[in-house]
Amino acid sequence: MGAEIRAFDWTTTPLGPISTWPKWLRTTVANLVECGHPIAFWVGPELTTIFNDGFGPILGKRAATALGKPLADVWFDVMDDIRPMVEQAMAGTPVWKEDLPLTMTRNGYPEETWWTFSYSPVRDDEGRIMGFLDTVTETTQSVLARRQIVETNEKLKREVELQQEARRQQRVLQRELSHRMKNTLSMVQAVVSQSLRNAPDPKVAAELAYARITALARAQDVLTSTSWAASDVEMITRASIEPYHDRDERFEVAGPSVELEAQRSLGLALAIHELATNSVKYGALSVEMGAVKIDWNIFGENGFSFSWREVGGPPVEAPSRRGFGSRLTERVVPAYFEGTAALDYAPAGLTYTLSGTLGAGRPSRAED
Amino acid sequence: MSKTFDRRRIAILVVEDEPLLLMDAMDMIEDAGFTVYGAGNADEALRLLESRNDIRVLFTDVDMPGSMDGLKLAHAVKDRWPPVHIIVASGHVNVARKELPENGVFFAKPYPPSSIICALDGIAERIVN
Repeated sequence: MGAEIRAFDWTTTPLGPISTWPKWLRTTVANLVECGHPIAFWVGPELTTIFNDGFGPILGKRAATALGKPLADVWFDVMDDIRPMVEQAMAGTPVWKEDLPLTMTRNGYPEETWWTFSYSPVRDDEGRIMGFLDTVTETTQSVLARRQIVETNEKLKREVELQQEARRQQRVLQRELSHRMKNTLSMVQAVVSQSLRNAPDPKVAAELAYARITALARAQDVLTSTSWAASDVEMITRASIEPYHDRDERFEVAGPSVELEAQRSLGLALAIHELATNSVKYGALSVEMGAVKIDWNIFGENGFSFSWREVGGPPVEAPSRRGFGSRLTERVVPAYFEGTAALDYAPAGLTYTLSGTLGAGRPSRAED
Repeated sequence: MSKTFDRRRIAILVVEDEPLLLMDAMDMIEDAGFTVYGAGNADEALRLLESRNDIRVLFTDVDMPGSMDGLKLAHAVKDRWPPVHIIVASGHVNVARKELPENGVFFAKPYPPSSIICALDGIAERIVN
């Protein structure tokens, strides 16, 4: 820039021709020209612009026309931002800023830029402040790089968090499945011990236990399609009567769509199994033309009713002794619905009615 | 094992929200000769403890719906009825063990029935002697 400065017609500026410049001004400009670091010098009543080679790229397209122009013309786009600092320097207090953001249009379009710079007051031989030196480094690249690193870190952190959440959900699911498995095994154990307790001999006990475990397994098949959480009453009912469904007219199944929580599904499946095996021995399913009408309904807020009515079977007699089947259907299964149930041994056909609730008394057990 | 006590005089309170398991556990304990009461949740269990003074053992499941699970119930019973012995059963083996009240006994579910009866006999021996 030394040649450009010497060649410039300074008579058009308040500084006047170079030959008239005082020593302090010449010395300052000579130092600036020989310095490798970007420096601009704003001097005189209009803060006329003088800058070195290093400062050129900072001016961008403006470098070609900035020499000799007033500060306010060169930096018209950021003047509002820098004015307080210019005034501070001109009042004698140096300015030091790190990574100051400025939106510039130096290349014809708005750019976000960051600057680390100092404004050092420059005095004449009498000590009056005549201008200031702007020693500057553009830090846009390092600020953007740091910002990029922060963003990348944030992104990685989010990804790690997502993975941790996925692993946590998997652990919860595994615990839940393990718990349901243990529960199923406990139910199988109860079914086996109840079968042993009530059967006349081990062979009968084994047959009863196998049939009950098979009934539980069929209900589990229905539950597996919903991750063991719930089933539909109709699906559980149809799965439970399937082994006895030898002709279309055997069963009449009717009821609204009702979602049944897993343990209630298993309980209802066991009840239907006991009713069906009893019917095969003594009731409507023991004769060619016998049939069973199964229906259920919902009422009130959470009310649920279920009934099993046998028709066309042999005359019914109440059993002399109540075994596991009647205890299960009359006492155990209604407890799953916080309700009551009754077996009515009417001569025309056995009727089983259950009335209870589908309330939130038995929530899912995913917690702990 | 020769018993020096009458099992009928020892009442066990079984708490289990699974009705089938509750019936089976009660049958098992009753068959062994103990007196047995059943409750489907912690609130029912506390009401029974308040109305009966013969209950010497609480045998509870852990996972139960309602305001109190089996572990909370066990601690509440230990505080209010210190002489009542505590047996806790759960499918969640690791969760339950470390949260038992003092002198509580833990069984993993499903459990062999004979081990429960054996534990009840041990408790009965201590109560009688």
